[in-house]
Amino acid sequence: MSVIKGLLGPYWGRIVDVHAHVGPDQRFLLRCSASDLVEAYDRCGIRVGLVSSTISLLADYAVGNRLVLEAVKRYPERIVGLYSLNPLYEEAVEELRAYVEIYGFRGVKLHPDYFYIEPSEEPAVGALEAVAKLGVPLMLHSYDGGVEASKVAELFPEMTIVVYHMGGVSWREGLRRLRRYDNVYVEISSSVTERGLVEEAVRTLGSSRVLFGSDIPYLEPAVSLGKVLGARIGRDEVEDILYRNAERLGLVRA
Amino acid sequence: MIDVNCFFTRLPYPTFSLEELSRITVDYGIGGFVLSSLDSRFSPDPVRANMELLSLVEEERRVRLWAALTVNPRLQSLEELEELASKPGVVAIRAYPTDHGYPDSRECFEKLLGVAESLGLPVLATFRCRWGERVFSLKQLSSALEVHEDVRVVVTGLNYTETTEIVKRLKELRNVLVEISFYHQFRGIQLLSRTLGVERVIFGTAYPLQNPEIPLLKLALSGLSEEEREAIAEKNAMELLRLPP
Repeated sequence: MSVIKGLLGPYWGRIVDVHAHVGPDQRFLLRCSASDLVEAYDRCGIRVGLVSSTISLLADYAVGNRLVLEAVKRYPERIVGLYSLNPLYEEAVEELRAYVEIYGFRGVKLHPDYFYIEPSEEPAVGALEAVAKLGVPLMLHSYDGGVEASKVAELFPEMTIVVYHMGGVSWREGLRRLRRYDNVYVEISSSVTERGLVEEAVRTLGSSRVLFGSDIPYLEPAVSLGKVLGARIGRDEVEDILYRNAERLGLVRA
Repeated sequence: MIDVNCFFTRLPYPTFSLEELSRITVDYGIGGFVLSSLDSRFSPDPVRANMELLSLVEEERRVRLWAALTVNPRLQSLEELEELASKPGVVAIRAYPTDHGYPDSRECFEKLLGVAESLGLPVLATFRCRWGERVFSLKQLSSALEVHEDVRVVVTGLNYTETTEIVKRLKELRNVLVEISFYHQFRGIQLLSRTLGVERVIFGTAYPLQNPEIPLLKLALSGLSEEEREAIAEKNAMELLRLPP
């Protein structure tokens, strides 16, 4: 056990998680409070995470955002806020500016499946224009092989887009589709754990465009850590994925 | 440590390599692997795949291997299996209910468990090998298990989407164990240990379908005590498979 834990040693306490949530999901008997999240980060050597709320996805975007704000205030060194944007609520766009400019949220989370909206169609495009004006990155849930992410990348070439789950089950297709968009980065979490996934992402996009995420509380951080630490890639590439890229992109303080 | 959920395949992807198993043995201290034929998922008649698996287990000297014979209860008779099951190194039966066409058939599950009971072997029941695949009915398996209370079944390939099923159905079946390779739920190994008891949680890697580092890290970072982790990693498998120390 100490050998396997030793794999994490060089990176312990430096890892940046670009995809996590606080909140419950009783479909799977899941719960994660802010303190649960920090406990998990301590247990797994993760320094800081970008966090939205499951409540924003499953019940009410605004209630979830307030929960994240509380978490950020409680653990400012460990939790960075992501604003969940449901474009079907006009006021969601109005509230976005305050969360970014006043409360220091560093990005916007959009989940097409839970919000029942295609991000490349109105009114999502209008909402994303507001995101672009603020100059914050978009974290886009993607289980469609990167189809919608590529359309958004085409529409907003200046926007930094982090594609959560790398396109999902169709991740190979996703990588090929997203390769041409320099503003697109992929995040590796999901229950898709096929061998060679991280190696292929690095080969296709370069290690500077691949990011570590846990997807807490759906997944244990060890899943994504095992994907990276079990990959046949160099130490520099591992460091890029686990924390350097997130720092370079300004998602967290270095 | 014993890996109860390891697959042999001749497919080009995922690639199986004895050299790699040897490296895993050395690097991480996995003392042995219960090998099942992955290719037999795709063949209705697994006899040839079983023969190939048994040859490998018999001949291999670098890595400690045991065999789980693939059984398709829709085709194979007990008589056919008895001879194979008596070969050295056979410690379990592997079932692929979805791939072999009986995901919802209580009758087939009962037949499978009947065969296992006669042979005196536990069953490794494959719920899924990859995320997104079709899965079998835990309800039908559970019903069949009520009839065959003495057969022990390890369900492999469960994930967070089955957590409610684990709590409401599998928890009460004392002869069921859950293998952890694909159970990726946040604090999932803690949840399994609390719900089922640590003696019903068992280690597997799903090599070569995924990196062994994933389940190894899940267990190492689980927050369980050393004694609990040792039970999951080895003790439970030794008892279940009646392996010599």
